[in-house]
Amino acid sequence: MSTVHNNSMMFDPVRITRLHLRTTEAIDALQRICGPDRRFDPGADHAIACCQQISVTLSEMWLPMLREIMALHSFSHYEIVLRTEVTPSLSHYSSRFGSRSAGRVRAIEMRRERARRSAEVSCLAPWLRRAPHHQTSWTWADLQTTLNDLNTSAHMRTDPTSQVRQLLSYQRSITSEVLSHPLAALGANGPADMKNPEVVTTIRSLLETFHWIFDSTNSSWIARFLPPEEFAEFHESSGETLAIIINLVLSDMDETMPANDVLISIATNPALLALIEPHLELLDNTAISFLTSTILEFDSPVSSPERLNTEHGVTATAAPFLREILNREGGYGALAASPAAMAALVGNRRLPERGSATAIRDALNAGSARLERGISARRLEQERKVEALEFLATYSEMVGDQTLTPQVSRFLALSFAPILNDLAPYLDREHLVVTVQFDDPSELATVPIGPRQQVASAFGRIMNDAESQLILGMAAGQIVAERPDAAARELLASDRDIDAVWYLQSELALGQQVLNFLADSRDAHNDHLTFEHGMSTARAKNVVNLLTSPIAVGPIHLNTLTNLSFPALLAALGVDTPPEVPSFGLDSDLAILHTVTALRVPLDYPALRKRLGVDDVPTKVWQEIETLLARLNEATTPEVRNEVMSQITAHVHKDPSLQGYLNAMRTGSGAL
Amino acid sequence: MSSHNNSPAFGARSLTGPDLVLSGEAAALRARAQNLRRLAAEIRASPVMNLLGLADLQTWNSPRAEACRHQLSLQISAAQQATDELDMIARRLEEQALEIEYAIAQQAAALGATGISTTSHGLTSPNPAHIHRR
Repeated sequence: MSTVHNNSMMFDPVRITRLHLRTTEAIDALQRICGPDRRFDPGADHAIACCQQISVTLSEMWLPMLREIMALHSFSHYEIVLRTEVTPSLSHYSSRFGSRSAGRVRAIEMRRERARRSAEVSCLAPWLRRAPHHQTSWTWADLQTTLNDLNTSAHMRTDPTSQVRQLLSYQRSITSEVLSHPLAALGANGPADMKNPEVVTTIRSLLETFHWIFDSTNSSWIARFLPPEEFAEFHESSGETLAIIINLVLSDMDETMPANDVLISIATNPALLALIEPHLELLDNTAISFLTSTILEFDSPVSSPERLNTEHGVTATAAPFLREILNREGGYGALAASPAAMAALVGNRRLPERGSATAIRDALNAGSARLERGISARRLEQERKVEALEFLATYSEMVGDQTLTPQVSRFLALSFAPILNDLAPYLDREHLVVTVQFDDPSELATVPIGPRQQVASAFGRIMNDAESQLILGMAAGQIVAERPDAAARELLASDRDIDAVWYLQSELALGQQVLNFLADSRDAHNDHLTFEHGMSTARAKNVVNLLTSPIAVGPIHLNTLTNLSFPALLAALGVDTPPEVPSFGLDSDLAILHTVTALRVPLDYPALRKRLGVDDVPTKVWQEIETLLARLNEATTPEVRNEVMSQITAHVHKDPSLQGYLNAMRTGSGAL
Repeated sequence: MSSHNNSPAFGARSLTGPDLVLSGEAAALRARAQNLRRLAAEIRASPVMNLLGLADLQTWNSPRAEACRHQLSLQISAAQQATDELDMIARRLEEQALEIEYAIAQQAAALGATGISTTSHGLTSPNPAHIHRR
């Protein structure tokens, strides 16, 4: 692969650059052809008109698109990453970021740069391995203070260029003066004193710093303002530093949980992985290196289930599952690319004793049990997917060319919202028939859905209603709202369940696809909405704003939305012109509540009460009601729920004005 | 085309006023045809005709890219048809020119038969069959 993936888009930067050049040349040529001297002959009118149309298409459609692509971060990042792309085995990341052939062209230049700029850093790792442990005046606390200063400086927050440069300068200094001493104190071959909270905290600070620099949600933003040379140097030295940390953590003989936690936090962070992978020298006889060989085993021509089982501890049941993870890009890419992630996910968090094949196998077998559970969970997931597809097929056909009433639109939007992520992989296909394959290859489910145009048309018509736009936009936004690394870390820290991590990863990847699809539906149907459904240009613009707003792509706490009215929400989204919806009353609020409920976001009852304008109810009654609602939400048995319900009903009988509020609660939270 | 163009072949005799007008018309038709053919050739050789090849899936793949390709593909097809039309129009113009030249030649031959002097090497009348064969 020599392409860059950007959401639903895939492009080859080298070819795009050439295409841009040729497009410009073509426009010039067409303008020469369409010159005034040719227009005298009426016989040429049609041909001239055709050329003019092509010229307009190229100028107004192609060139802006190409320029847009060339302005993408990933496009500029492409060249920069090439400069640091040194390890052929980095197939995962090289395929994501750039053309390998172009990489070869730059290889010599890159090696020179690397040698020149990172000599100090490159020497650090072997030096650490050789050098005796130093006693130094530097402490982890000093390092941590430095990092905190770097991370919290108000000046640097407002001036990213300066911040990055300071970090770069800091990185230059740490190679010999700062970092080497504390790292040396850790020990060249371990053990890293991960029982020392100071050490763990500092390592985490370091990781956070690096993660901040390569924030996966703002991928390669540095490339926008930092010269490529400095970026390359930064990338290089950061990777070296991280590799040292990783090696030290991996070599922690005590196998303490803090070390594993650090490992996991790295393994689940694609940005850090991207930094580390080229530099990571895996130590022999660790679980990590063992898993690496397992990964290679899958690709080996002599691979066999027996061999995987006996030599790698992968059971026959787990093998296809594991293989799928390893082969998967996108959502699982970070996991597949990371032996450390695999180690974490197969339940091998306690690294086995070095060199102990039995221990490794035991650990992997334990992980296999988890994998098997994952397989049954996957089956449920596949079944849900089939149901969602059937729903999509039914309704996209039913919608057809009909104009939907707002009620029907909202019904469909609310129905689609919870299954958007199930539908995501299929929405963007041209296929008329979708086949869902279960883990057992003999078991297939075939669902005929309409062509993409029909499905897109259905979504376009649903989104003709402003509230439906909001519902779908929020549903899709929620899927991608949570940052993968933070959420994954949280999951790992809580129940450490492979299923949960798996679902999370897939949800994030699929959510992004949903957003892309919705955006495409929007593009495809803007004109349709404008001309055939009477949606004004301003309204169409609102749709655009809604679907491309931070709510859809950024981390946002949806419960804060319950405090906003619909117009306020639109204002928050930067929609200047109020959309032409009939009212912003309770219905709109309830639509939001429906969505919030579907997304299982906790409701802010007092804020809701205030917004619904029922503040005139005596405070004491409210307090009682809200206490009861809280109890109701916490109720675990039907008996308790019934008891609370009867108490609430008694209140309502006393004060009928509560009914509206409770109705809203019922519809909104599903609690009653 | 060049075998039929221009009128020196007819210049050996004295042309009458209407002949001169007709001969000028034929020349103009041939000039137009030549321009149209040149235009068709230029369009066919235009870099835009290679753009779709450069904008293949490996270069650029997304729904919007597909829309761009589709749009350009349609317009290039239309342009190709337009160039074929240009050729066709050019042929018709040349045929008209030939007909005019043939008519002049016929008229000259008729005049020659009635005693008006002609050159020794005679007239090079266009072949009417040729006119319709193209």
